[in-house]
Amino acid sequence: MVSDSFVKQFEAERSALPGAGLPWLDHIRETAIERFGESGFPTTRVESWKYTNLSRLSRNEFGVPEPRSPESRFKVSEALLTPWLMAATDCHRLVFIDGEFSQDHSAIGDLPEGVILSRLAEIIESNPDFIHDAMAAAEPEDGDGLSALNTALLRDGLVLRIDAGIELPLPVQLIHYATDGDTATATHPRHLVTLGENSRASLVECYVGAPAARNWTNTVMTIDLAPGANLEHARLQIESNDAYHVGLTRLNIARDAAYSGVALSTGAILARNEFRAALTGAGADCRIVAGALIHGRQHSDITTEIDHAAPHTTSAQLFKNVLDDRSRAVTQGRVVVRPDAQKINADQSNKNLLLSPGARADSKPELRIFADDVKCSHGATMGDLDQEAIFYLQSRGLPEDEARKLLIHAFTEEVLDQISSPVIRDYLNKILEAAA
Amino acid sequence: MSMLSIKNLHATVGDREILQGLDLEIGAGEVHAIMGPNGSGKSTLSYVLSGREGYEVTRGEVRFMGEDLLAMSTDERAAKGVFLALQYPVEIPGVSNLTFLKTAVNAMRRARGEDPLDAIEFLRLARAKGKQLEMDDALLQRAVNVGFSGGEKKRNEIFQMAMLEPAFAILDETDSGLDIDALRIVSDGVNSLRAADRSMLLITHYQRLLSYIVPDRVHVLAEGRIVTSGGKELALELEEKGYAMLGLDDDAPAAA
Repeated sequence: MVSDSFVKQFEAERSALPGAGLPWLDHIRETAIERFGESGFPTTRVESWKYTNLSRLSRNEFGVPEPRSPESRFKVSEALLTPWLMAATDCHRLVFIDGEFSQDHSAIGDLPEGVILSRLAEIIESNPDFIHDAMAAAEPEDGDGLSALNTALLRDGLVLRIDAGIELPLPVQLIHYATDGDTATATHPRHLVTLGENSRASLVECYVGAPAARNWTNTVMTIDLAPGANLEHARLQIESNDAYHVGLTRLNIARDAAYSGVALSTGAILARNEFRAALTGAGADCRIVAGALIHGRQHSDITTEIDHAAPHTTSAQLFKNVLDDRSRAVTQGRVVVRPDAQKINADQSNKNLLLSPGARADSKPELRIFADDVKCSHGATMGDLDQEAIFYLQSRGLPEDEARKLLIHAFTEEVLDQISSPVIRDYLNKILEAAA
Repeated sequence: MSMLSIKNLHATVGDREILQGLDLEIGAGEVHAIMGPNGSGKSTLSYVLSGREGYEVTRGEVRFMGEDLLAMSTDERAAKGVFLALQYPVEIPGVSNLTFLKTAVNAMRRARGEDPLDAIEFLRLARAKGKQLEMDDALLQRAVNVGFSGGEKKRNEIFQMAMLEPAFAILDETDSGLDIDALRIVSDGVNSLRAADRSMLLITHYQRLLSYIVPDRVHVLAEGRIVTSGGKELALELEEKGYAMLGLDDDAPAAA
């Protein structure tokens, strides 16, 4: 059982993990590894994992990445890493290689007063109280075994905190790069984002890797938006086709705060992109647009839960998948409207483009509504490219493959349209074009 | 010299033979009209000439500027200069009119071994050509045909024709669904594209279009073959007497 090996790994490493010896952190880690030991990897018997089977992932033996010398780290990445980087003048950048912070490739730049952008391991050492609340809040009862494992074994990640009323004009870019090596490795990055009242920021979160990397990324990001705060978040997963990726984004959206998230996934043999959002004050707004472009035997899972815990809250979700060959996409969108949470608007739409008869898409919208004055909608479509449109484009001189490419691009365009920052949109466009 | 030469063309859709021995010669610079009752094979002819899947040629040949047209794929025919203005232009959500046309223009330039136009050259050209067809910037920026009125869709077809400058254009029921103002804009657009090295085939049910775009020759298609041909006066005669004058069973072509 691989879950045993992670428990053993924890026992072996615990004294060397960042913050070892801090009683509250030790306690959180111990509770988490106990929970993981009990529950192990989620199985398809668990409702939210019904369509995504982790048995292939859990059969792997994942080691801990070797610590790298600064020279080898430099050699690893320069050519392979550069295409993923936003220009240093366009962003504040943090780069992690195999989970380890890389000073050489990061470019944090000048930050406005009231903004802290740092890394978790550093903050744990220097000012642990600073993250105590965020860390403690990140371990709720409904978390599954994988987020518990993340908590037990986390070493590093991003910390972004913005004080009330501050606007960060440039986006933050977070890059995780996985190298290839003789053994498969697992990393458990943990990121904490906290925006104060009426503050504003944008964040681009990227998971990439060497073409033959066999890593498992098991990451958790918690985002806390105080009243009136505004965050634009783009999440990009283009790991190697031999990699596994599980990413959980946990959101707390307070009164009048707005979250806009765009998640795109083209890499990994198995990827799960999960969002859990709680809308806790009137006027809170949550928009999620997520999509996967996959082929071969890739498996993509997009799972969300939006909890309308307060009246007058809104959510909109759009999921778009493009599937070729024998790939498979799972889309599960759950919307919960609590009793007394009246005047809710919650829309959800899932569109799947199946380019091959062997591709398969599962779509499961789930509405749990306990209030009566609400407007909730959901819809799902499945289909191939429009043959009439292909003929039309060909009759205007486009060869068939180019016509298909243009139509696929048009299908995904709606995802990028959600992004308001031109810098981020241009970046994602460039990345997607290179990946096509 | 003949631009398009069709000899004894037979074509089936599914297991139905729609074209049953059609002959047609169109010279360079000529505008021909094909009229005929519903179900006579007019649209099938336009799809066969543009190479649409599902339309199978079982006999006969089509030569375009001396080459075997039927051996080419749809996009190869387009690159050689064949253009089809569709009766029902297709909506393509997510692709702007300009992106669509720029991709098309440059695909054809590439097929002809020419350099692609850059964004600025292309936009200048599109605005100049769009002016006559009243294609304003808003229509150019919008997704192809999405939410366009019937008239806007047809104007867009002729605008594409102006941009792609084909040697041979087939206009399939371009007049259908147009009010009189839209018909005038579209016809003016088509007439301004008439040239000594460009031929056209107008497919229409009604005579009305032919008062605006005056053809050199008029043919009547029935049961998959040309049953009679004449000058532009044939259309007027048909309007007056109906297809019944040819012993054909259909509503009169004047009943627009």
